[in-house]
Amino acid sequence: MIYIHKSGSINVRQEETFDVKAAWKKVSPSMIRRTDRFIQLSLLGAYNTIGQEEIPEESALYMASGQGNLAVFKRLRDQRYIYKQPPKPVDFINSLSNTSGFYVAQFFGLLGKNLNVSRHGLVIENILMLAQADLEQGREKQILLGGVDELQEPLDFTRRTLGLCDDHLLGEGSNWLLLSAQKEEALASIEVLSDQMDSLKLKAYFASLQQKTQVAFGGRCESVWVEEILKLYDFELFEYASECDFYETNPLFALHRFVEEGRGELLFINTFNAQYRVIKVVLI
Amino acid sequence: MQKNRVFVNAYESLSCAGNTAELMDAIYSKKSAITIDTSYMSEHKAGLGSFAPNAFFPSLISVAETVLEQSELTDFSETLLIVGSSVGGIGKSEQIFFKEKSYQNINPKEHAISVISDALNSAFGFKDSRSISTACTSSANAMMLAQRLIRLGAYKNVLVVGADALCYTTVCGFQALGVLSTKKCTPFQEGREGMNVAEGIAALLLQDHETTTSIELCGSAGSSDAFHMTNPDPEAGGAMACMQKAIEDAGLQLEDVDYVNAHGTGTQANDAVEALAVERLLTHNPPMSSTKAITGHTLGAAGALEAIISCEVIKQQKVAPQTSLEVAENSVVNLPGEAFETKIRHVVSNSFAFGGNNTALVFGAVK
Repeated sequence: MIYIHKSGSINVRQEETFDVKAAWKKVSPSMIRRTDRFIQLSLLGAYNTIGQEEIPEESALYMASGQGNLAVFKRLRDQRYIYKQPPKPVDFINSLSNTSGFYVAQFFGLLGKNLNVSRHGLVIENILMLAQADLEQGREKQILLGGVDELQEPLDFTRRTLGLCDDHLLGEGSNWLLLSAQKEEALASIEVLSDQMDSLKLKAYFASLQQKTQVAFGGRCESVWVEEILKLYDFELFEYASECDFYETNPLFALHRFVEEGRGELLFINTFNAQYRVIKVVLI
Repeated sequence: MQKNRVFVNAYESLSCAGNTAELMDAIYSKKSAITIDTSYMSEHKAGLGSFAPNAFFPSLISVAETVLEQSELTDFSETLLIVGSSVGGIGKSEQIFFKEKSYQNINPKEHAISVISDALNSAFGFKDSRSISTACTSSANAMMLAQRLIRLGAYKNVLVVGADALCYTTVCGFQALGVLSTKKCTPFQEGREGMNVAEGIAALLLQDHETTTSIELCGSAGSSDAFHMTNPDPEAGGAMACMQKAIEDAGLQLEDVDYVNAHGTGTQANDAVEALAVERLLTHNPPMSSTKAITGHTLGAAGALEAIISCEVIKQQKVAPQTSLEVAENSVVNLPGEAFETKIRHVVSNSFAFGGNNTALVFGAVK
């Protein structure tokens, strides 16, 4: 079993504007140069989780993103094909998937393993499973785990990237958990169920549950299906979706909100390509 | 907790030096496969490692197919796929943008890092997949994660694929950083000029049981310098930490290491720090060489490609020489000028990336 010791978030809705640079500048004026918005989002979300507290330097850092830092690729393409210039070194460096991870590690002085995981769909569930494996095997003592996505214009291009329909509202965010295998002083336990399930298996799992539980659903779950599940199993819905537009890593926002304001136990259900994953969080 | 052992049971690769058998011949006979090229930058010469212009994805499928054929698996439906890549499908979207000067017809699903795993999934139908992208340590980290998942018992079979194609962004990006060599790279050489960017594909099947040809992946570890985005910690703390932790993870003593397959890119910063790390940590002075003098730096594929080279070095019980070395900058470390046969029990394979992202893997002959 692994445990959440801290959680923190930045969550921005499609219609909101948020000056990430100004917010990060207030925290660390010296760490603005060479960083772009994606990196600043990463730093600010991690800071909202850890704050000024020191965490052990051997802690690992695992990051995930649904679409990565697409803005920097647009800049690199424009430099080459529109402005006929070579890539700017800073943009090339910022286009590497582990650049944000470097800045977060540098800010918190983390010397442990530093990973970046990318995946179409269920990316948070997969990175949590990796963290679970490493913490349960004792390979890591503590992991700072984050999911970061930046809203990228044009929105129809981003929707196509994510495989979403035209009316889906898109948001952005940087949501983080500090995880360890230690129960002492933890806020909640967290577990990704090992089975990836199809719809039938998932329903059999729901039917086997002994007690009434709260549930929340990922943004790719069809609303008709969600209604059916809620009715069939008499689940109580934990509402976070009204605060959050879609981005691939927003399951961490749901978990963060549950840790902040929930009670008891939550099953977070998410889907991709007709396969389902369940994350179980139990508040302590 | 009882941990499963992890075995490398099948593999194949493709680089500018050819398939694995051709690559090992090139390594042992010190024949660099780098060519001097101006196709990406007409105004600058650069040493590049290219194998299949515009045929990267068919080659990817073919390499994975070869691994499947070598194994006892009849399909990959119970196999996890972990891909390590730093470029993903950027090359494809570059070609479209170059032709049309517009984003309109770029298929976003063919741009992302996960395009490699998507392509392999549609061809072979894996149970599940994930992609690791940590620049030049991507596929070394994929190997490490595969090892941990098999040890835990979460999977019995994991196919690790390291794959990166040449593209404008990487070639010109490294040029903009001033680290490309106009000649064939000369790792660890005094006054070396820089690195050669290259493309590569490497696939390894890791399993929880041994076969007659298995090599064991005994240990792995990662560390972070948290020092500078493009320069390694000059005291080599992160590089030493990951090697030491990987050797401990393998349950070995430092002196059990018989050969180091170095990251050895040929850049000033990397080679100086890596040589210092090996000098300080492995004081019994095992032979070390960088095979990037033959293949160039295959970026996200390098960790997996060099894992295959490490397995071959153990199988052949023959140390890979340091190609293109005349005068070593670090005169303490043991950089053999020629291949030689010796008893090789364990090999450390290093991978280091920008952002001070360090990974070391330890391979061993099966006892």
